[in-house]
This record gives sequence, C-alpha cells and structure tokens, in this order.
Amino acid sequence: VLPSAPSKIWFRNRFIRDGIYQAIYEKMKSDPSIYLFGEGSNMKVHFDAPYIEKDFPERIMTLPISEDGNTNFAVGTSLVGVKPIVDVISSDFLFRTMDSICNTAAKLNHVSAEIDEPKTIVIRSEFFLGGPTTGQRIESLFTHIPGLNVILPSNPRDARGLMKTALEQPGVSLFFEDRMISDTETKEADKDTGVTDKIPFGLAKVRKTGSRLTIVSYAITARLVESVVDEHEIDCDLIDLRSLYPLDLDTISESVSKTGRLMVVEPDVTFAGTGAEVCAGVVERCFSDLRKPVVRLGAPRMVTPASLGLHGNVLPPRSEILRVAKELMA
Amino acid sequence: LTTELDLYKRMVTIRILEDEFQKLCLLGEAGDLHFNKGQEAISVGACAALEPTDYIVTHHRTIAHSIAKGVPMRPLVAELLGKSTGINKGMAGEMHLRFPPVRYMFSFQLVGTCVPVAAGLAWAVKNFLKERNIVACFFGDAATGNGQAHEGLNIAAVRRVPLLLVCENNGLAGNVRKEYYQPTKTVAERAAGYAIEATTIDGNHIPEVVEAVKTAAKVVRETSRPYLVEMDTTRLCVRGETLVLGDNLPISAYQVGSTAAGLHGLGKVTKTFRRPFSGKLTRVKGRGLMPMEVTPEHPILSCRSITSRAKGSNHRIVGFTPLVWKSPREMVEKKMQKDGDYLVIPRFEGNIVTAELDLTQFVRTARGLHVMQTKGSKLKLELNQELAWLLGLYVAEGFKVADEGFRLALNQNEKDIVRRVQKVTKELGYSMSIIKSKISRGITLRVYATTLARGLAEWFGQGAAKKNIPDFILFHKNLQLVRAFVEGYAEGDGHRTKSGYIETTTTSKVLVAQLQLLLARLGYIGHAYTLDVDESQIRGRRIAARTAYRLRWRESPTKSKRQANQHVFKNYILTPVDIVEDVEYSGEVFNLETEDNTYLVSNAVVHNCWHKQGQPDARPKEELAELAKRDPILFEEERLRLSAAQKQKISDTIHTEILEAIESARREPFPKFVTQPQR
Repeated sequence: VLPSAPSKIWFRNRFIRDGIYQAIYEKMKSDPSIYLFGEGSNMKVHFDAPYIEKDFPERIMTLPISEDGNTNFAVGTSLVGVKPIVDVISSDFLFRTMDSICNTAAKLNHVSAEIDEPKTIVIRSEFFLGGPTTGQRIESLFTHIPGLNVILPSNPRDARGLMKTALEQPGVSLFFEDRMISDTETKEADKDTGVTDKIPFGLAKVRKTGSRLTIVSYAITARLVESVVDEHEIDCDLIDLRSLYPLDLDTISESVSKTGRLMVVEPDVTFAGTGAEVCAGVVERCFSDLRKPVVRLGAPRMVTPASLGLHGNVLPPRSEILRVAKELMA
Repeated sequence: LTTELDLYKRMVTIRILEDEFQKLCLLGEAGDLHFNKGQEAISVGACAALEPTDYIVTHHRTIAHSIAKGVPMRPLVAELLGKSTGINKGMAGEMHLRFPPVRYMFSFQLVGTCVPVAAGLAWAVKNFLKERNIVACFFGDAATGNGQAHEGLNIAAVRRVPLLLVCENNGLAGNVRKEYYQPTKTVAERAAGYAIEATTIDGNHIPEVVEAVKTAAKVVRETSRPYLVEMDTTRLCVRGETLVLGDNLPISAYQVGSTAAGLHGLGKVTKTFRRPFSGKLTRVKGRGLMPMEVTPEHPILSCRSITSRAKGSNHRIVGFTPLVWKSPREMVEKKMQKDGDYLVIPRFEGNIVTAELDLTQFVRTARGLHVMQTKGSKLKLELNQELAWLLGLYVAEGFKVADEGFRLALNQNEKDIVRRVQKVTKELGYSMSIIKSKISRGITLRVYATTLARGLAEWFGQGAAKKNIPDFILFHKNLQLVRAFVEGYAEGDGHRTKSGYIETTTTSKVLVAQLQLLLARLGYIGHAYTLDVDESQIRGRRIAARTAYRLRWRESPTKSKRQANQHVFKNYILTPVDIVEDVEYSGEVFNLETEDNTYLVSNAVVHNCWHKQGQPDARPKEELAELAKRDPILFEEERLRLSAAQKQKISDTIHTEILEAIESARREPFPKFVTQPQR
C-alpha cells in the first residue's frame, strides 16, 4: 500500500520515488550485479523501500559524506561487473562529484571501447526547493557532457519504466527526481501499477493532443502545465520530454509542424537550458511551419531563495503560462 | 615465478620504450606522454610480487605499469600511437589504458582518482566476485594533496577492502617541491590518520620492493584491510659538469676507483650513480665559493650561527651549532643581523710526506740520462721550499717547450723573481737563459731541463686551462712547503690590490678550486669568482679562453668587510650561505659514493649519499641500497653482475622488439571516429 502524501515539500513525491525503487527491486531480483551506494543509503532504503532492505540487505551500502569518492568508488566496482546505483542525495551535491561523473564515469565506456562489456552506472539525485544550495536545478549542465544520459520523469509510471531501462542499458545515466511533484495531484493513470514495461530513453510522451499549440515541458513544470491546460481546456499538444539527453526532437518537430506554435516551459533557468536546445532544434527542422515566434518560460535568473515565502516565485506562475498560451493561440 | 633477470629485462623494456616514445613525441608522431623514468623498480617489483590474478589501478604514468603487469608489447605500442589495433582500439591514449585480460583495470589522468576507484574495485572483488585477490593502487605522493585520494583512503579503511596502496614518492608534484604540498615528512604518516598501516621503503631497490610488496600483499589478503607501502625514490645528485677535486674531473667522468677529495682528504670512489632529472635543482652559493647546484635533498655539511641578543650590544656571533648534514632547501641565507647557515670548507691536515721528486720515470732515452749525468743535473730533486716556490711560479707562468725545457713568461720589472729562479735552477743543475721581448716589456726565462719539463707537464698539467696542483703539494704535510708554493704562484700570477688583496686570475677551474683549498690549509680565505668574458685578461694580455676565474685573498689577519662573516677553525673554515635559489634543469644528474662518505662540490663538503640526519652512516646492505638511490636499472646490473656483453645483448633484443612494434603500429590505421547523436 502506498503512503498517502502529506502536503509538505519534504514528504511529497513518494510516488515517483516508489516507482524508482520498485524498478530497482524488480531488476535486483533478476540481476545480482545491481548494488545501491550512497550517503545514508541504508536509512533511506529502510524508510522508502523496506522490501529491498528485506530481500537484498547486502546490496545496499552506506558510504561516507564524500560524494566524489563515492561515485569513483562505484565506478571502481563497475570495473568487475557491478551495476552500481549511486545515490547522490541532493542535486547540489552533484557539484561535489562533478569530477567523478564527468571525468571518470562518463569516459569509462568510451575509453575501453570494444574490449570489455560496457558498464552500466546510474547516478540518482533529487531536486527540491530549499535554498541557494539546497535543491538547485543543474540538469542542463550534464546534457552537455558526452557519455551521459539525463533522465527526469514527471510521474511514477515513467519513473519505473525509465529506471528499468537505465539499469539494463549500458551507459552512465543521471536519474533525477523532482521532490516538489505533489503526490495528491498524480493521476490514477500515471501511478505505478507494478507491471510497467520499460520505457526507452529519448522517447518523449505526448500527454495531451490538440491542434493549435505545442507545449514542451518536463518534470515539475510538465505537471504544472498539465494542470493549467486541463483547467482551461487549452487546445494543445503537451509533450513531456522525460529524458533531456537523448532528446526526442522527432516527436516535438512533428507536433510543431502540425500546430505551428511552440512554447517551452522549464523549471530551470532558460539561458542555455534545455528549452533553448528544443527551440533551436525546432527552428532547424521546421522553421517554415512556425506561425509565431517560439516562447520559453522558465525560472528567473536567481538563486533559489531560502525563504519559504519566496519559493512560489521560482517556477513560472500558472497565470503566466495561461497568458502566453492564449497569446500564442490568438 | 619470474627470475630476477626477467625483472631486470622488464625495467630495461620500460626504459627503452619510454626513450623511444620520447623521440616519437619530439617527432610529433606520439602525443603528450608521461614517463616514469627512474621509478621502474616500483611498478616492476610490485607487479612481480603480486599474484597474476591480482588487480591493479594506476595513475597517469602508465607505460611502466602496463609493461610490468604484462600487457603485450605490440597492442600497447599501437594504443600509445592511437591506432585501432591498440589494447583499447586506440581510444584510450596513454593515460586511460585499460587491459582487463591481465587485470590491468584502469589508469586515470586526474591525480588522486585512482584511489577511490581502486577502493571500489577492491570492495567489489571481495564482496561481489568473492575472490581472494587483492587490488594494488599506484599513486604518487603529490596525489595526497588531492581530496579524492583522502576520500578513497577513508572509504577503503572504513569498508576494510583488500587494497594495497603503493605510493611512488619522488618528492615532486609536477615541478613543485614537496614542502609546497605536503606538511608531513612521509606519506606513510598520513595513512595513520585513516588507521591504515604503512611502511616506507626504498623504491629504487627492486629486491626491497618485491619483498615489501609481498609482505604487504599477504597482510592485505589475510586481513582484508588496506595497507600502504611508500616507495621512496628521493633523489640526490648534482649536475654532470660539476667539478670534483681528487682526479679533478667533472663528476660525470668519475669511475669506481677514482680519487675524490672529501672532508678528510683524499678517498677512493666506491660507487658512481647517474640518472635523468627534470625539475628544480637548488643553487647554493657560499661566500667566496663558486655556486653549487644540487638536487634539493642533497645533504650538505653546514652549521648555523648563534647571535648574541644581549641588550645594548651589537649584533655579534657568539658561536655556532654543531656541524650537521642539511639539505639545501632547509638552509637559510645569512643576512646582516640575522642567523643563517654556513658551509664548511675543509682544512686538510695533509698526509703526504714526499721529500724528493723522482725524475727517473721522465727520462726517456739513455742519451738523455747520459746528458743529465754529465751536466750534473740531479735525478732526484729535494722538495724544499725553494723548489716549491719554483713549482708555484711554474704553475703561474710556466709552459713546456719540447726538446728544450720549460719557459717562464715574466715582466722586466720582476727582477727579484728572475734572480731567484736563476739561483734555484743553478742549485738543481740546470742552465738558463733570459730572452727580452722586443715589442713588449715581457721577458722569457728559458730553463733547459727537458726531463724536469716533462715531469712538470705531467704533474701540473699542460696548457693554461688545464693547470692543476698535484696531490704531493695539495696534501703535503709540511705547511712551509705549501706556503712557499702559494708564494711562488702569487708572485707569478698575482698582484696586490690597493685594498690589500692578492689577486690572481687563471683559466683553470681546477686550479682555482685547489688553490682555495691550499689557502684554507694556510688559514687564508680565498674568494673565487668567475670573470665575464670582457675581463678575460691576465695582466694586460688577452687570453684565448672563454671563462677565467679570479681568486683573491688577504694575508693580513685583519678581515675585510666581506670576510667578516667567515670563520677559520682548526679543521675547517665556515663561510656563510649568501644565496639559496631554485634553478630549472633537465638532463642527467650524478652522484658518487666515497670512502669517507663525503666529497667536495665548489669546495664545500657535501654528503655522498642520503642518510638521515643524526643517523649513523652504516646501514646494512648500504652499498647496494645507496646505489639504488640513483638508478634502479644500474643497480640491478651491478647486483646481478651482468657483463657489458650481456647488458648489450638484452638491451639490443628489447630494442629490436620495440622498434618492430613501433614500425608495425605505424602501418596500422587509426580507429574510426564513432560519435553519439547530437541530441
């Protein structure tokens, strides 16, 4: 039975995390080489996925607060065939382990090319709204590094399917989850039924079809946009990217060719972000189909405020999303 | 297992391979490579001591480790040249080599990365593969300045992984000296912070490496705990052109059995060392001495002044600390009003008691002997003060003329000298003539003594730049003779300056150094300088040589300002350190081992080899161990008693193999450039 979701930020998003752990549990049963490493992993698993703790206690390992060393440690284990999942608790800690991810893990498979089994490494991390260095968005940084996949599901079902792929497919995947996503607003259809098939990377999901506008979004903003669109019955295609690299430009450009209008809503700062990449791709592929200039909405260029009272200013507001969508369709 | 000769061959392979690749780098055929020269014993010894099934993870100087672990030559060479037939299909380059078939698991360009990765690998070997194999991680001492190394040590200790940490300590981080990145004396001390056991051994001594790694590997295997072996490769040496008195040759020309002057006089050279060096040497300049350039750890005999700090009194040196061996990096320049370090110029006692010079060996023909006998010239010359004076004068002004004798070039003013020469030569039974120059004020004294002239040329060297003082003067017990010799030399070459110095100029570096020691024996402090090219004149005559050296000293006991800080003691003279600075150098460096464990560089006493301050000289197996300080390969050659032919044969075989590998790799194609999709 899944826990009910209290409304506080810290306890939201149980569903997505559950999707992830369900996938890990499922894969662990069939693949003895999957291990979980991270700061305080034992405790996290104890609370979030007691079934893993029960069945595979020896495959969970708590490591010290040394993110860089931990990721490299995991890379070391992968050299003899372990498929490590490294839990880097908060996205800010990823800066600490940037070197081991970008310099060591990302290069691993490239370097040993065809002489050895390509390695599978998953690095998990979370976004949330906490403060200047508590939960900041850094997903776009990793999309720039060759050798990394960047995954960001917006609902439990996707999370489960994508995590299964991450654990099967060789390569280094950064698997993010948005802790701000509210469990109570998760649709029944998006909940993890436990029989989800794996979802390949680089395949965006068209969550809603329409004819007059294409809205591209991911993670928390995908949920935000969806609720706005549902509320105001906007006639649009809503595309949830799910993976930032590889990026599913085919689905996007197909939709834009149909609607002629593009709006990208992202939770990150727009400058040099994923939205920029999407817009550039659309302009390259279907410039002639565009009837209006593309629009990007995103977080203001500002550090995340620590004050709870200011957290509401970080994501693009519902009213702004609605206004821009209507303006584009006018 | 592998024999010692195999290990030697492996080291030679690494050396030759790196040398060949260095050439390829210069030719632009290979990219930027990182070499391991002089540290071959560590990788080869450690890999030999490990089981073949043990794993290794290394740092960015990979060639040595891959050869040591047994990566096949041809694919390795192809990989280093970026060819598709390489061990990593040409994708790894030099610094990311990876060859799991021989359990060479990975190498990392970024310093420190290898430690946590090796910790993870060791954990997985134990807990995932459930093998009894261990993992050896090679890293440099400089890596311990990096957080990753510490995180790795921490995790390894906490998780009790079977990890053998091999620290290659060369006291260098790139080109940065140890004191700038490491506060502890050893890396082993740092391991204590993680409750990791550690030992420090001599990393250039391959049997020691093998033994230490075997012991450590056993501990790791049995207890499943990390263990650190620190391989000290600290290097002590001087540059090849450094003049060493004794045989009066550059140090690079010294051989076992040569004679070198040390703290206690002459001694035999028992070992010689050479190795490549690239980085910073330390230049130490003692007042009045020529600067010396030594590796930063090279121990130099020195002491520090103790200054009176009594209130109201002037700055006054009241004493000196006892003499100790100190590395130049620890030295403090002696500045006004402050305490600083002093170098030691020895005052030899002199142990040679030659009473007469035997010319028999210089007699070439029976006729010559007959002539000498009829003319009444002596075959055995009594070495008295007069003769010593003449010898001094000869060193200053004399030269040999074949089939005639020797000549002395003087000035017409120097009538006293002419008279004294006449007197001495007459006593010896030689005739002499005086030739006045028509164009200058010079006069030439021709002494008709062919046999003696041959002797002089033999003893004192021929040609101005090769003049030197033979041991029977330099170390003669009778100081009166020494004084007479110096007088003779000074009268010939020197002149008095207004400030009361006697100043001489010569083109022979050896002579300047020897004279300085002679003066020290007399209790005088000689100041030696190198002159600029423009000044290369000796008493108005231009000289052909490029460099000239000036030596000046004072006979009066009153000290000049510059001498104020020099102190004459019974057995040595202390001279303050004026300058300690770094100089970039890349090339070969050398060292000697001598009977009394010292030799002289720029007339200051330096230690012949490393032994820690306060420790007695004698360590067991010291000879071998000290030799290993220089070049592990030379050491093995010596230890295994390889003949020149054997060495040649081994190196030729290996060289051929390497050249063939390079040649065949050259013909191989580059790998395909496979890319990921842009989006």
